[in-house]
Amino acid sequence: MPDLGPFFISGLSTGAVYVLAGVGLVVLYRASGVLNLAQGALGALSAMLAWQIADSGGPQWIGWIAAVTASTALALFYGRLMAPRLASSDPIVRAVATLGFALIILGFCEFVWGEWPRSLRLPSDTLGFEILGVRVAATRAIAFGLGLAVTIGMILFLKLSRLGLSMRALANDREISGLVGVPVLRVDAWAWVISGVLSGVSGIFLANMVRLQVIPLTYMVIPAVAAAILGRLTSLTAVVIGGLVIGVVEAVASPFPEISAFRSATPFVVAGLALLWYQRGGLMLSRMDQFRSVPTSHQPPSALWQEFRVGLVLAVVVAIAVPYLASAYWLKTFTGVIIIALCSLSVAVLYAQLGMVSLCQYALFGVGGWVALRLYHGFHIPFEIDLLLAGAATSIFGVIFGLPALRMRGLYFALVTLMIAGAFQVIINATSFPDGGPGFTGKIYAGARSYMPHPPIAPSDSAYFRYVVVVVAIGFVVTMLVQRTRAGRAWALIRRSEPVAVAMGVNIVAYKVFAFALAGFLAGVSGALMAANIGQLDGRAFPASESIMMFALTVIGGAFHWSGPIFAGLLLRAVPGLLTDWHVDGNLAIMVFGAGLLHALITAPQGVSGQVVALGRVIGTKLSAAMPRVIERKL
Amino acid sequence: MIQIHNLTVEFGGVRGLNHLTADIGAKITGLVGPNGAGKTTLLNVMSGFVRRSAGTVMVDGTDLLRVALNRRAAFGVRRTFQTEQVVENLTVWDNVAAALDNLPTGGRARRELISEALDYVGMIRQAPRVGASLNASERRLIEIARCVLARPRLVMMDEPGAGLSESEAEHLRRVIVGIPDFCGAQVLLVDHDVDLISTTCHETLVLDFGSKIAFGHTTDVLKDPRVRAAYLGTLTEEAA
Repeated sequence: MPDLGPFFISGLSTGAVYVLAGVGLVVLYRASGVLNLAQGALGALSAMLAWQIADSGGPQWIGWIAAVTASTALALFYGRLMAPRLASSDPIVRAVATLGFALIILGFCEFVWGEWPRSLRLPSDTLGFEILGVRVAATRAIAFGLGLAVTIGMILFLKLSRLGLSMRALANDREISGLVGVPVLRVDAWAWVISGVLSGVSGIFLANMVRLQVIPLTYMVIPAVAAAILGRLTSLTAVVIGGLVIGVVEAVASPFPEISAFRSATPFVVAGLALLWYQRGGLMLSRMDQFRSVPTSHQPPSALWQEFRVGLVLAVVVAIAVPYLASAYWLKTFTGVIIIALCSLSVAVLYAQLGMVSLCQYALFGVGGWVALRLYHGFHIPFEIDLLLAGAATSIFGVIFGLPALRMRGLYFALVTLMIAGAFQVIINATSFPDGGPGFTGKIYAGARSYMPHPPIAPSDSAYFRYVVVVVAIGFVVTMLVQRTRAGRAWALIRRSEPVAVAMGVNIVAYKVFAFALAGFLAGVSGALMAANIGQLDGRAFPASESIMMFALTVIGGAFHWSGPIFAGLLLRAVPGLLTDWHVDGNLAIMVFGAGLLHALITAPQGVSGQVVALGRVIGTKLSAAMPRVIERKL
Repeated sequence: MIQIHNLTVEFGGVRGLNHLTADIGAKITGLVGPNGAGKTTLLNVMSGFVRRSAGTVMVDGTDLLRVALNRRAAFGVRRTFQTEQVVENLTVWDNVAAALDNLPTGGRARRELISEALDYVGMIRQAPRVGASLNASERRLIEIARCVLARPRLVMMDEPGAGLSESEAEHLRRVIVGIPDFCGAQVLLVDHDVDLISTTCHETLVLDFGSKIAFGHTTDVLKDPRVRAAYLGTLTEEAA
């Protein structure tokens, strides 16, 4: 048994910083109804600024002040200029919009600073004292004290001050608070300031205590969200307990080699269990009109045959032309585009049909890839059967992951899926994908890894491209047909309002499970196709950020029309390739995607595809109006 | 025949319904009362959205509250809501088809059932239009078409007449009056419009603070001084 004392102490202090960040989340959520998923990104930015100023020879304290000021100013900027545009939207839309903000900050930080390992030293690091024979750095003691002091201060502030009272009023009912004279926007702004200050401070501490790197710091929002979930996004006391527990469990697991690789899954597991516990009460119908603010399509699916014609002609042209025109590199890239489009379709099915935000579809894509590789290496089964089995297995995962959502409101479902994506990242990083080795995990640690080949009927890269186009086209056609069946109509009713759907006899549970199964199947098949495209998959290529990106790009591409997922595929796979060709930093694309997500959520709910389809209609009517004149002239 | 016996609903300490007993046998029954009287609560208990604390509701001899929520439509209990609930991205036809998906067709062709219902409410020509393009009155009619499909026993309507013009209200009135003959269902109509109630309902049940204060022939009930008191507030008490 190793001595756990030092780990316990360090866990407590890290946990206290999670508490700081969690308190910021909860105060903001209570006052403004926004779950600020950009909090980690704000922290990362402030930590990098503090490092930059110290590194350039400036006094450290100026760095700290500048860092916290910057994160506060940015939070205020977003809270004053962006958030009010979505004030009447569903909480889930408001939370997802902050992901767009996070992507902008993340892209900026990566563009400026990159992912070099750095360290942020604080003067308190060298000071310290001993408790029970364990040396404690003063930084950690300060973090712990600050975490507790801020929570207590915040509880008192909300209870006793006038502003705190206004915040509690806003949490209770925004509109009525406004009517009785609470200055809603001003109180909102203060909540954003508090959230900005806390994210800046916690960013600096985490950079010092964990590591100074942009992406990990951005994802430090997850333990904070987990702590906040433990308090149902409202209770500050529960946030303290949650943050400390997560910090301690994470730290205490590190001396045990069997579990230490998985210890960063702690927040996901804790939050997942908490969510399951809180929703144990039974089937909860969402309130009437709950999803109205998640945009719906007003296009009837009646023009189906016309759409099929357009889509199939496009697929045939692409399947024939691309292998002739594209270089070997671009052919592989386009194969990836088409495969990713199928995964994006799985996001679109849930978002457009049921108004549900799934942030774990890329993880499910990984599950499909894992199963396909495992089955191929283990049994050398025919490719098509492998594809179907991968789809089926992923579909089961999709249903299991979806089950908590049957009883959960939109925002909590999105959070569960985010936790799943995070947990998948940790697990797949630790175990990686099978590559022909023995045992369940199928890893080869020494020697040549074996690859999963293209299917025998499409051995070359161009044949495989065409094969993928056919499979993906089948996936799209099946999904569009399903939308025209009773399942599609039941989804439309559920989305309109769950009580109405029940009153009309819809078995909500069954149809939601079916949607999860279908989305899981699509993601699983696309994962299997990707495994065969590259021959193997890399565990490091499945961070939670990819799942978030997948969702963001599906919304940007347009979830309500079949062309949307294809735009998403192009944005996710082809654009980075183009930028590399043009020697443009790919991080600029991340910033543009973040802005694009905000734009799509605020002003263009139909996404790129909506705009392209509308343009196509305009051209179509112009052409048909111009035609008779042309014919007349010829006569 | 709907037999409500001793039905009680409690929200915390407040009684939404207070030992309500009534045998509803008329073809069309009005349900009136001031705001908060328990009208919508009664409908919600029948739909299963609100749990009773005591009492039973029998519909044609079956204990309705034991029927699973999502089977009540197939059993024959249908309803409309205070706010219209047309699906905006489905066509008129599909809006009705969506309702029929979960109902027994009794061996008849779906196409036929949907056309009949749309024809009955006068919306058959609008069948290809998309829900988003419908006006308030058309939306109400679509909701009624969804209720009268495939042998309903009881159609409950929650303020269907709200916000309609005079001619639209007149058409709606004819549609409501015809429901029992069209599909054989009893109708339970909640509305504040006394004019609509008195011209469509054979019997009327008046609720106030969750209790029955009058029940019987509509004309008699609306003359009842207690009903007038409930509607006109404390006027009679002040006079007394």
